[in-house]
Amino acid sequence: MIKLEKLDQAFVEEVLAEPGGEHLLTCWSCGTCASTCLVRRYDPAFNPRLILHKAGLGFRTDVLSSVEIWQCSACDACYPRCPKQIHISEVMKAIRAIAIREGYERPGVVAQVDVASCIACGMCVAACPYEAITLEMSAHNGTSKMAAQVNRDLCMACGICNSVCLSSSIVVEGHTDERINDDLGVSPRLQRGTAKDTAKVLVITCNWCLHAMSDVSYAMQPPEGVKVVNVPCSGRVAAVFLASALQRGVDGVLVVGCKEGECHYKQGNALERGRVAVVQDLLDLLGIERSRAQFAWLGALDRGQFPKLVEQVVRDVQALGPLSWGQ
Amino acid sequence: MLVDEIRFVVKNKLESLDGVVALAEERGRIMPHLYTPGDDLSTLTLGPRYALALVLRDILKRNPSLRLGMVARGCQERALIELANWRQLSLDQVVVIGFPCSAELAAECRCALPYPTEVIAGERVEGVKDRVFEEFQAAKSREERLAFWQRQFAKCIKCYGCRTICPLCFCDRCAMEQETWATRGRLPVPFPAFHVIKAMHTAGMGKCVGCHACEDACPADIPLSLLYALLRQDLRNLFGYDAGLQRAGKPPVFKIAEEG
Amino acid sequence: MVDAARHPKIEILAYSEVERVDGYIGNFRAQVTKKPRYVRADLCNGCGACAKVCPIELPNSFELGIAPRKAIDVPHGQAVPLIYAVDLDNCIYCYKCVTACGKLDAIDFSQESETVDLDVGSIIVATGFDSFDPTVIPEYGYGRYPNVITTLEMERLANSAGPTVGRLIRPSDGKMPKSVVLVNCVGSRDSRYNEYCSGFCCMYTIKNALFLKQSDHDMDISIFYMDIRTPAKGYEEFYNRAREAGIRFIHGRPSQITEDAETHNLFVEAEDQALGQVIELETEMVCLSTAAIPRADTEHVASTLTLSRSPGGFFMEYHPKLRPVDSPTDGVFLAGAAQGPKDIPACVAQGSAAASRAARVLSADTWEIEPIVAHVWPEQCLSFQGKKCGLCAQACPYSAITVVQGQAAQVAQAKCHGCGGCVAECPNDAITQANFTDAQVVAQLRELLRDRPEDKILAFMCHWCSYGGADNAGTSHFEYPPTSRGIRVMCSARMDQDFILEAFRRGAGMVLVSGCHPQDCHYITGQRVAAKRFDRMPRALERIGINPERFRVEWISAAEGEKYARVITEMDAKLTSFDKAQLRAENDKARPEIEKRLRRWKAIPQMAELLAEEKQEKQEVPA
Repeated sequence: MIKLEKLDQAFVEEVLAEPGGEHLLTCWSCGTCASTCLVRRYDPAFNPRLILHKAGLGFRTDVLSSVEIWQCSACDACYPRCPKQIHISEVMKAIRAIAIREGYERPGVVAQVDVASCIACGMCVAACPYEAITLEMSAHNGTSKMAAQVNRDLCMACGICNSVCLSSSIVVEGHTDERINDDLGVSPRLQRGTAKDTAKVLVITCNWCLHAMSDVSYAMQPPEGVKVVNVPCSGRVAAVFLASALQRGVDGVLVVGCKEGECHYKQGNALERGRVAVVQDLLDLLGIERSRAQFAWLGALDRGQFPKLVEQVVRDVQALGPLSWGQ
Repeated sequence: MLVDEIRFVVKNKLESLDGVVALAEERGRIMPHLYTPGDDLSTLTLGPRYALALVLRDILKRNPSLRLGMVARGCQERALIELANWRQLSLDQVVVIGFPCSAELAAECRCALPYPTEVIAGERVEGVKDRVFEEFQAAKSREERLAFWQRQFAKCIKCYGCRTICPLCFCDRCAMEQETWATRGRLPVPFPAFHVIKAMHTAGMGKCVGCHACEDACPADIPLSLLYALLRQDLRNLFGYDAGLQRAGKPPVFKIAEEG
Repeated sequence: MVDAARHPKIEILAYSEVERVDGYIGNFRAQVTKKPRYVRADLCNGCGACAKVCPIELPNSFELGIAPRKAIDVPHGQAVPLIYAVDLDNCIYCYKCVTACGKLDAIDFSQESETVDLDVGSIIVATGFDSFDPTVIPEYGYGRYPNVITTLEMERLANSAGPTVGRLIRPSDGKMPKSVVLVNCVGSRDSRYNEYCSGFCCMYTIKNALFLKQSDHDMDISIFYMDIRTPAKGYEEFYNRAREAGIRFIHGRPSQITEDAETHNLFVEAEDQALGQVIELETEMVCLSTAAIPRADTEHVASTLTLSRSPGGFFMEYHPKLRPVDSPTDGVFLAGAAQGPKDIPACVAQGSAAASRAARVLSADTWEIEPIVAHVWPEQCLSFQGKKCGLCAQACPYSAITVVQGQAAQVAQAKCHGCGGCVAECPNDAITQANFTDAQVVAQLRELLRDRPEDKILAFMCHWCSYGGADNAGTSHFEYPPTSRGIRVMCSARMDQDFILEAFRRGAGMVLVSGCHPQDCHYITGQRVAAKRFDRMPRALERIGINPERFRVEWISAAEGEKYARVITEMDAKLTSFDKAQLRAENDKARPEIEKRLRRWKAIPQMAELLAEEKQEKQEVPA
């Protein structure tokens, strides 16, 4: 039983006064956001409705010390559906701001910079959807140099910074280049040019684009010749991954991301789309069929489309035959 | 003569600069040289094309407080501008002493802008319309192109010359050297990952200014500038970006990252 | 309806449009156009032989597009009057209908529209409502997935006189669904579309769910809701019955509906809050309970009859509690969903109320109107002088003033409600208001500002809101300094700029203009007229040399006693901060300029007298 004394009205006022938190109390807990939220698929404990409700009641410590307030990635899938038009990610940001002031910190993994190899080109700063990175004078070897610095409280560990960094001087533990590359690997000892009837297709999906359970199960048990690898965001797939896959015996690569406007990390999918377009053009220049590298996206309402997508790419790549370069 | 005019200007500029980077001819060899105030400028030569911007970039990186001049062809000035767009130097640190390329050089490089923005001395020649797409890409079938590049890359010995001489290759840790991406020890390569990475990380990022240094450096005469010219055109079509043409410009990745 | 059609004192003009309405309560003149049916009303017996042979099929809006109608048809089977009409836009002139009609010979393509003029004493508007079209909600799939329909469409399918003769079928395969989901609050209680609650949907959803359960005991039926609203007599008991019948109620608003492309089954996702989990329910059919929305032609009707609309778009009543079936225009009454979504008992109750209100007008020989109406002094009127003006007509919320260039403005006093906006707007002071003349206000100003005016705050208050607010401050014992003096007028629209200038001319320390909040104005748009006028005031004061900080505009409701007290307290503090000598000097300096602007007043009868009185009085006061 919750005793009324535990409710802190001052906390409610604080959230209301914080930019972004103004509309906290108009929420009537309809649950549309909770049901839309993609984070809940990976962490059932995350419930945006419940966080807003608790904040609105005044559960100061409960809310500020929770890990949940750090999990909203501001993908804003809930916002257009909210019947009260509450910008929920902004309310989360407001609560976080209060948490930071009270000394709380974002828990878990965030991006880390290798100051030694960072050349401060600023790409990660531009690419970060959360503006969590700045260029600062950083200590290095007894002196200081300009390098990227990550604001822990803003970082959502999406890895997009890692993908745009040409020298991978900024990494996120858990999905480093090496780990993803290992996942990609078809055996490097596979003889190139050995005739095998089945096209070898690598499918890289982002965490959030598969909604229906049937699509998720298909990804876990894809047809023969298809390997499905998972990354947090399609934007994480740097061009080098595609090159790496193609040199390790794969005949074609399909990157699947979220639909335009639905990227869980805001604009990761747009980055990837641009990247794959250039890779496709480069392949074409080199005389390699451009449809060996493809990018597609799935929307929240596209139930049952994933198998169709994969099967089409397999057919495309099958028709092209095995990728042969070194003879 | 053009070189005399340039020497004269360099001498003047040296009064207010910490140094000027140019080519020097000594004992029959032409090498990049940092002239400092008071130096004898009779060795200064305009020489063949060379990636002087690379030299300037490296000096400034180790000595960020210096203010230097550079005797520059059009492409090297573009390299400087692009380096500034990538925050590797500030244009305030550099004074360009520009001169134009000859018509022969322009034709060789298929260069559309064979002169810098300000030409101190010498006559500008008209740029060459780049017909590399029509002549190479459109004219050859896919199989022909594949065969062409297979032959070309088969000559590659991974000397890293193209990477080392490129003024826009400034990463301290180069992706091309990571075993994770470019597998070692196999010839012929199963897939030219080495070259795909080089191409994607320079021309594919909108960094390549078409200075031809890579091809000049390649001991195997691989026509790299052809591939990069094609990619540059592609980027122009896809994103409307031309490396080195806009001060404080936004290379495509920055633009997409910010605007989605 | 049939009773109405047979009643000797009721004339039904169907298939007609009201083109314009002139006049005022008790004396309206309505011009109605009877559109041609191309069928003789006196000859057609409603047999339907023509429709049977007509080859043209068109979407039937009564059947919500599920079933067709013909190019010659009646709106629906029970239409009153049961006379067929030709849809000439789609008719191909094959004349099969003429042949089928045979000896009755009722079809007449030469028919033309007819205009009738009706003299009526009162008008009731009962134009009904439309249904929200859920196509605009992409996450619900209406219009994309065949088996997502609206509950109203479901009613037509389930109706034994409907397109499927009462068999509820799935549009994708024509089979009866084994499971149905009904979703509440589609398009209502939604900031994106309509904020209001549509009121009767909870009940009709439950009704339909029970109906479905009756027709097939094994059907799996779920209702997704945010709240169940069943307030009236017997309604909550009805809801209980639905629960006991085994209908599943899920407390959670669906976030999205997706479809299996093969089976066309639907997957409804929502957070079941009682369960605390997100659930996905596979179902064979989804019915969206859509909101009632104002009819598309509401704006047209509103401008024809000078009606206003409430924020939701329905016609606005005179007063939500005390006069719910009266419109602000006297003699025009509202009934039914046209005034706001409501269910059948409420519509019937309101209809009876409107009828009795309308009958009062008809049974009276005379009618009492507002005494404080506007009067025009013709010679003063600029329009009479041949100039183009009409500002008075523009300010009137009731379309009570007509202006024809070359003639003086005409006030239809029976329509005038006495806001006084026209009086204040007139640039030539050609129009006045009974019992609230300029002279009367100036006389009050004279007395209030007689002694030490620079120590006083002159507050203009509107009768309905801010005067009530000031009253409320007093009765609620909110304290405020005794430096304010109030002048009451009916509406803030009446507050002439000249009053403000006159107040400063007489030496007032500060001036407050206060009225209703925009949505509360008793005269609908009066406050808006005032707000626009007083937006310009600070600049005008600056030009004259009066510090604009001495003028303030506040919108204070009758319940906001606390606000009134606070405003006066703030103004008093500000007034105290001024140097009184400087204030007097400022007033003195500005006086000649103000007098120049107010010399127009001398032209107004009674004002001249008043000003003359003043001159006398001034001579009595020692210098």
